[in-house]
Amino acid sequence: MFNPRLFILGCMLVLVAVGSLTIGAASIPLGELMLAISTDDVEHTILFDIRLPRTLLAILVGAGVGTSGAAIQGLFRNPLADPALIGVSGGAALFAAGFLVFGARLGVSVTGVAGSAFFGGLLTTWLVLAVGRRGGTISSMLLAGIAINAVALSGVGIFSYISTDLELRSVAFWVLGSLNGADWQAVGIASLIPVAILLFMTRSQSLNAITLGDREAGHLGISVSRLRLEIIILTAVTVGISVALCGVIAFIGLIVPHLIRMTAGPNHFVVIPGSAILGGLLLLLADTLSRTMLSPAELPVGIVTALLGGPFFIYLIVRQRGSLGL
Amino acid sequence: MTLKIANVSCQVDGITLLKGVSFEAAAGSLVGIIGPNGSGKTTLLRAIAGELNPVEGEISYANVNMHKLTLAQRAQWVAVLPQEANLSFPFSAAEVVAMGRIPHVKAAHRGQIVADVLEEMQLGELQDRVYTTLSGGEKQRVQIGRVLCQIWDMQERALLLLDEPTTALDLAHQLALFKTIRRLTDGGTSAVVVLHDINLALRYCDKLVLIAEGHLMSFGGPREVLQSTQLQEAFGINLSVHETDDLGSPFIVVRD
Repeated sequence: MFNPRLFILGCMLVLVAVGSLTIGAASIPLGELMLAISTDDVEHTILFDIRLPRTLLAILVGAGVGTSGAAIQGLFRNPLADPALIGVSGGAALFAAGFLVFGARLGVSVTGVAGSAFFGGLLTTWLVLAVGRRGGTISSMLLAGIAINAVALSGVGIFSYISTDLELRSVAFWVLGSLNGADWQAVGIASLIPVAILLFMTRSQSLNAITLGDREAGHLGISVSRLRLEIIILTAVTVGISVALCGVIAFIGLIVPHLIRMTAGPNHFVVIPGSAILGGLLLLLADTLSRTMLSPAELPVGIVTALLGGPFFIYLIVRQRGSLGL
Repeated sequence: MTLKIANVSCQVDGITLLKGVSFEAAAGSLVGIIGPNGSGKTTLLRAIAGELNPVEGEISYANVNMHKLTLAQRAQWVAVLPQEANLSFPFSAAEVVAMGRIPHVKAAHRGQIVADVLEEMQLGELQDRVYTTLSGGEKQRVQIGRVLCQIWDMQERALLLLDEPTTALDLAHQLALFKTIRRLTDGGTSAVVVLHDINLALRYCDKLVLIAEGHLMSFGGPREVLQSTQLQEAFGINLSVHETDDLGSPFIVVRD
């Protein structure tokens, strides 16, 4: 199903990706990009070992978080829902902070932070699911997510309180999100995200049906409990991988599905792939800004996404009064 | 394609809402469920829809136990309109109607069916409007359209279950809806409709199910149910029955 709007978005993503490869502490002009690919000098190293993996990671993570946001908003029938609501980000942050404080003291390697974050994300998601099931309704799951997130974030606060200055800096940087650690290994792990996006896409029909309500979706032949489990597991894995590799990326999961719905309508056959492309595009833009604004220093990308996303979202709410489906 | 309700009892949260209800309706029947508020009308409809499992008894359609079918199997030929329907995202009226085709994997004739239903429900001018901006009655027509779309091409295999479909509709659209339902039942579709308007029920239904406090008070043709004293007892009101030659069916007037 060809959608001209998604095609334009896709073209924009390619352009921004090429642009981001040229910009940085050391500039590689567009004309020399091809040369840098074929030669074996320092520009080749910058391009292949630093910029390309970082660009790819930004696209993959942005796509994953954007798609998860679209699916979670559809599942909860709530345009204000965010992937963080199922507890995955809070849990990942808690375990990562715990690892950064205690793991560093025990001399464990940095890859353990990603592993702990992923495990923490899945564990809290399972907790949210279990509590939500006891409550019986989708609202009880939402409330469980809010409560468990609050507990997880207070845990992050405790770890920050007992950490040394150096540990505190790593925790803060990680919680604010950064693509600083991008390498080919991270891209390899993140290559699971497109698989998850494809699986999300196969649930588009069911997500459309569930916007009518749980009972109505059931009458249309959709097993709501199964769909809920599938979407939550896919979101936990996608966001879990993203948070594990880059920390918490604010706002992309919330704002991207809105932008797609406003420009291309609420049909999940468009919203899911559209959120993947736009999520990748926005995170890549934010990351390019974060590493060039204060170059050679860089801002955590989560600060940039929230700083740009927040006011823009307010502008949309004011301009589009009522049409956000709120 | 007989609809058989055999000694059905249902509970919700341990409370018995339906007790020992039995009746049968032949294929192509339009069955009206009437009764006071909280009498178990919606519970009965939900049980027929396969949404509530009876604690005893059996519900079958075309000799198939409704509760032994998977959701996907049931959705192929059973379409249900709940009492209230909300939509969280700004789909257009035509998109909502088209959602009725979700259970049917084959996309054949999908566009034509949606177009036919939009025309039948007089939604042509509203088809591109965002659902959330429609009036209550327009939303109801869109939801009914979605339900009709689900079984539009199923004819005699289809079972249409509507819970208070006329609530938000004006008189002209109420009549139009019942004419549509009658056309479908003439084609072999069976329909069960929960109604508050007894006069509409008397005029269009082949059979009426009168329930009160979860029990079946009366079942039969409109005149049979009307003549029984249970109707007045169930509602706790005084009724007078009238008939005119041109209407072809009796109607009631509520007395003090």
